[in-house]
Amino acid sequence: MRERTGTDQFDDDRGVADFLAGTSRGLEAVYRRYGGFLYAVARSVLADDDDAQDCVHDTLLRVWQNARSYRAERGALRTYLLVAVRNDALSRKRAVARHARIEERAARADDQMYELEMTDPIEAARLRRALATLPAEQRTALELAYFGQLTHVQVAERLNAPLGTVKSRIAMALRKLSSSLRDDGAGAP
Amino acid sequence: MSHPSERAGVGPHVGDLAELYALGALDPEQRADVETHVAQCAACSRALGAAESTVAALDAAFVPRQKPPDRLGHRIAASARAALTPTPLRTAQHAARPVASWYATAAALVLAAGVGAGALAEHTADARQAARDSTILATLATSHFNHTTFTPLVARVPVSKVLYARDGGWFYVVIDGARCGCRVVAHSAAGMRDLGSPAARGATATLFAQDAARPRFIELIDAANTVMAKATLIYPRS
Repeated sequence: MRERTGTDQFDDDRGVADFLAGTSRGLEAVYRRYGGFLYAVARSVLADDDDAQDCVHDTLLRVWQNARSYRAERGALRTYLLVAVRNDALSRKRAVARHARIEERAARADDQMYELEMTDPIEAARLRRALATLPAEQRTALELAYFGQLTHVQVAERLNAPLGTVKSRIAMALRKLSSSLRDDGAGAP
Repeated sequence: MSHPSERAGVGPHVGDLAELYALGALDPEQRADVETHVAQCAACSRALGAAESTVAALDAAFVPRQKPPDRLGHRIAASARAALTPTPLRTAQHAARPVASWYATAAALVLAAGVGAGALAEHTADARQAARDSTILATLATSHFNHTTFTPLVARVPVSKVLYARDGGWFYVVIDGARCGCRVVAHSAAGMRDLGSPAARGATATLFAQDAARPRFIELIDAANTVMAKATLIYPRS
């Protein structure tokens, strides 16, 4: 089934309500709608198909089983699931015993990138413009955390900067990015 | 446990930890602290949601889209059905994964327990162990259970799994390594319960617990109280 992407507006419909009510129909509806994006994020972190499937399966089931922990005021369900999958994937990746093996797979996977499509070139260009407006030290810290998938402790070590300073730089960068995207019109998805 | 912001030194709320959480830049313990706080703080929940929306925008722009394998959808649907409609000897959490090995393991344990009980009957401690084995195996044989693998959170964690009753009445931790040097801690709605160290059994270490109050997750903890691995338990809806 084709996935609708780039927006949370579909969160208001029956499928999400069914998901939060704990029905299997709701779980399947949410998976059909967001599964592609969730899988892509897990796959981009883990660089392994089986690990990415485990990550999406376990995270989706966990949230579905504990739907009361989701609060609408926090934001759209899609975003909530996305961050849950990202955090779970990063935890798996950071299990150091498996890290080296995953990195080898990632290196091999570079040859296969031609099979992949950028989600939205226009959106990517808009994000790049917004990133370019950040002060260099904030942008570097944010990029190490997001693209480099490092913890804030690892970012501090990489930059040889105090931990508190790095925390502030990353947080400030993300807030400015959010503000910049709002000013640019469309806003976050 | 100290407040997340007390550790971060940013004030009475999660502060900068919201952005770090959304980016996946926190360690598991800090992440759990943030989740605990935002569950009872609407302001921090909104701040976290804003940060998460920005990360979602980054993902929408930069994560290459890939179609998930069809089998993932089938697996999730099977897990949903299994969770809602108890089926004898079906695994809900990993329905598409081979489960025969676990039944083979259980069968091997039955055999080993039978042989072991006869050979070691002269020794009281061994006889007690054999009796415990018998209880465990009888429980396994008469229960519907799921299983899941522990997610390692530090280096050099042996492969570990937990079998658990679908009604939450018992769980059985099996660690591939006799000397893991860890304790098993179960977290449930009733609170945290330290169940002590798994017992060495040949090349493995195991721990069987009953009356565990339907734990939501189980951790393996080392001597310094560092969480080495974590397993989330998923039950059918009652």
